[in-house]
Amino acid sequence: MKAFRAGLAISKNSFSRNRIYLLNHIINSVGSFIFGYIAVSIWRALLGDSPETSAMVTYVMVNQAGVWITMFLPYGAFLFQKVNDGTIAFDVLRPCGLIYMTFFEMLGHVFYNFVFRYIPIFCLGFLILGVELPALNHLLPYILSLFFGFVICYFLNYFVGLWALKFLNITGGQAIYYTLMNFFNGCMIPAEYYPGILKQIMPLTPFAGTSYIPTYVYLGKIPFLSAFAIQGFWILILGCLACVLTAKVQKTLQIQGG
Amino acid sequence: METFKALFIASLKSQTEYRFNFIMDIILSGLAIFSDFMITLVILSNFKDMAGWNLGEIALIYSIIEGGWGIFRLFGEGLHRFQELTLSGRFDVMLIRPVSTVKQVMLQKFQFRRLGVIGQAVGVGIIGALYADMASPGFFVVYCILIVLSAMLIFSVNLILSAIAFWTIRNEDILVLASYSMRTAAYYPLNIYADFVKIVLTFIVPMATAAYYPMSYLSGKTDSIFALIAPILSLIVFMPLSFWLWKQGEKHYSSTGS
Repeated sequence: MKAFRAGLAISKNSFSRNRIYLLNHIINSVGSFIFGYIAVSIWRALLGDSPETSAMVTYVMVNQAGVWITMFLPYGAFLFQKVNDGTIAFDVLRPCGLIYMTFFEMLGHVFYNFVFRYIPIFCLGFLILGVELPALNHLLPYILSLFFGFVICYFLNYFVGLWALKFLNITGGQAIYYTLMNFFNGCMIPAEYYPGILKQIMPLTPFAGTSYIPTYVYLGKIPFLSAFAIQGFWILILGCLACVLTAKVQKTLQIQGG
Repeated sequence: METFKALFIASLKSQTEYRFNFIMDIILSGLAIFSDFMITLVILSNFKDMAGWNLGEIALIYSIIEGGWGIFRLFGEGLHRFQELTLSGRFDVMLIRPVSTVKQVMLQKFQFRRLGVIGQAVGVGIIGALYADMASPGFFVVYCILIVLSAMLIFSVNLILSAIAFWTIRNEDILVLASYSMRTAAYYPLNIYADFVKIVLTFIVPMATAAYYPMSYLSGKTDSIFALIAPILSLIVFMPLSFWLWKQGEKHYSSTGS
């Protein structure tokens, strides 16, 4: 309980830190909405005035709002920044562990993103582009699935952070993360449009667990239990891998800055 | 020119010190950006065209914009990260040197890993030209000129956006709004967007004049010569405007930092 309270305090600090730049983030959210608008325009041009278009508009805009929770998290879960300025030295000494600490730090950041980025982008999509609201019985499973999507995304970003601890450079790890996430998370294209075998593989990847699966839960196109099973499986695998890799990387950690 | 050469060589030497890392950074940076085009590729593998534009023609539009972006980031990284200078107050030093501040900001760092971005853009362009049945020596001469003009146009847009930091100190979110999102919008044919967006992309952030209009002429969709020379017309207006705004910003600049 004490550890949980400490975690919440870290989240609260992370949330407050972000609030300083609220105006900047509002401008950024308008930019992010434009990215969603581009995707909507592409699908409208391709599908014309069909019933499928309306579902696709909702799909891409819900995903676009969600990228601030399940894709664009701080580079390497803040670890890269801490390696650079040397503050990682204090973090590894704390009793609650690196994974636990960074998780709550990211949770505060993501909660801020939910309030000040997700909701405004979603509202713009609803008011301007005609995004459909979810059925009431889909809402709670969607929120849960979105949270699981965040946990998967957190672990993937955490691995990028570990890459930075190991190689003292984040470029490569971040580029691999962005490439795989961009192509496989289905943010702009649902699985059925992928060619050949990718159609079957894509929904089973951890990347799809961050965008494609939560939004399909929103639309009611996937059974909730299947969605949670895929996401739960990846959280378990990635969580175990994070523990093993953290122990290994901490042994060879080189502290910079000071 | 001597200063440019000396700094260019110094940057190259420092970045190639770890050769394997350097080559991996080039490849991975190119791959990360290429993943954006892969999504377009997957979408268009399901449809014949997008608003009358086939895959090859869209590849050429993407290639001209991305090629220009890659060249800008190779030489203009300092300008792209201009807010770091205004936030830290390091811009003060530049004001007392007898060299143009734009030159000094530009010469701060050359980012050679952007060669990967240029490489993938040119690769997509060559394959696009073959696919669209437009490949000829004459076409490739025009294509190279268009990439250079695109880089110049992106430079002038970014100079304006950087100048905003003289008033606002931070400008990264304005960059997302006016540079990143507009650049992404310019990857696709302009006729998929609403009229308001067409006006913005033609007259306010004129990214569409870099590739869409010239490609309309080259692919026979219009016979107006103004479409072909659209990037030159944009540059005639925007280049002096961007330098004028920079000068105004410089006069307004009040230092920050400690």
